Amino acid sequence: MNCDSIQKLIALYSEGDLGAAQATTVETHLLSCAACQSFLNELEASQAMVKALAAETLDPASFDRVRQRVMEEVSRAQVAHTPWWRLPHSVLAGWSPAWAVGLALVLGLGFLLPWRFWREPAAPEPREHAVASGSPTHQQVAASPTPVSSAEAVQKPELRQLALRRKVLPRHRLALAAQGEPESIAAETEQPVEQGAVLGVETTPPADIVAEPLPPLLIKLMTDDPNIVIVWLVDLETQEK
Amino acid sequence: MAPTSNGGILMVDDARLGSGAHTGDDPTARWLQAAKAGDASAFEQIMILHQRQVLSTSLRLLGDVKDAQDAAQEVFLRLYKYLNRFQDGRQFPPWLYRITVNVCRDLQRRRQKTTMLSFEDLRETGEAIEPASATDLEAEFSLAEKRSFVKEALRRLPAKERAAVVLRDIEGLSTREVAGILGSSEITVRSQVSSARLKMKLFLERRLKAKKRL
Repeated sequence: MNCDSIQKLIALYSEGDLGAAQATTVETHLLSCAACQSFLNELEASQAMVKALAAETLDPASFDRVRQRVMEEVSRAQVAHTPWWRLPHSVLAGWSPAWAVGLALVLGLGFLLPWRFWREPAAPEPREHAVASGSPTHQQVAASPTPVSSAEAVQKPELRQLALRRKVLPRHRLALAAQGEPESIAAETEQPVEQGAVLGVETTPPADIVAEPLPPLLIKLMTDDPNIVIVWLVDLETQEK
Repeated sequence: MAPTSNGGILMVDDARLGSGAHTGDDPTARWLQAAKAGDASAFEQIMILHQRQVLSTSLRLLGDVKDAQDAAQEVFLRLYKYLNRFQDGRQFPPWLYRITVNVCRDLQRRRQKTTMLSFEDLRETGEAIEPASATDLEAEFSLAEKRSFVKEALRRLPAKERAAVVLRDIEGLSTREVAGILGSSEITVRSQVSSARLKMKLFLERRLKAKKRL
């Protein structure tokens, strides 16, 4: 084995990385080769320098910095995976302004939305009065297969409107209804209404009930300048039409 | 058995990384149990116990303190993320070394900061190639110079040789452990270590001659 080959083994021999057989080969060569013996000494010196690097102390601030950054990430990850009701009080306390604003918005919307969309139901026409009047429109009401008392009608105007839309009587049955056979007529005329069918007859409001005009909606836009106020009037009746 | 990689975390199922070494007295084992149960303070204790290992290895592999800090942070975050994958009964330090080597390798790839210098560059710059004697090496270099030269020599090594020699000669692991961490054979590790030692010897001798000229 020549010196070049043996020096690769010497690089391992110097740190005890060779097996017994290869170590013996190297030792035998070293006994007869001064150059390789010198090479071994040089290698041990350079290896001492390399190993000395292990004794180098690192700046403690580096450890602290790394640990702090990691623990911040860990805390963030734990908060992200924790239900809000299990969060520590300190975490929630830090968000108190956001919680207050959010709660105010929810309460505000909860109060304003019903007020905006609520409509005063129109006073329903009393059923008895409709039959007595004898007008075709009112006879249709009398022929309803599900008689509704006037008191119920007042309480549930929308349900009554639905009932009127679903039951439309032919004109030749209206006379029978006026003669006192509402039940038989109701049994004959009760036909299922298919979904999507066009229903022809709509009840018109009685002449003696006049709907009150809706008051216009007043919107005021306040600007930064207290002298400038933008007022916006919306005619709700026009809007509905 | 070939290791499998998953997001930089190698699923350790390799006897070379050691097993059955945990005892009831091992503080890391106790902290690991608590950390797996979600105890952040236990995880911090693990960091305190092993931060030197992670940060110094990262520094040797990357050669830059700031990069080493970034790598160490990433190592511990991966450790936190994949803590439940660590099998009880295995040795923890080799597993952590493996994460560290993978993170440093990924960081080098991302930043493209791998030093392009090589040992052949010294020949082109006309620096002396005559070897110095062992006594010269000991006498002429101050401690700071020695460390500086060794770090430069490490940076000039190919990444695989650098990882092998750092783990074997600086961290003091056995060839078997290094092979387990790097996912290669002991024969390969011996070859890499031998090559790295010869290159570093040559580099340090050249540095000494250059300094003598000045």
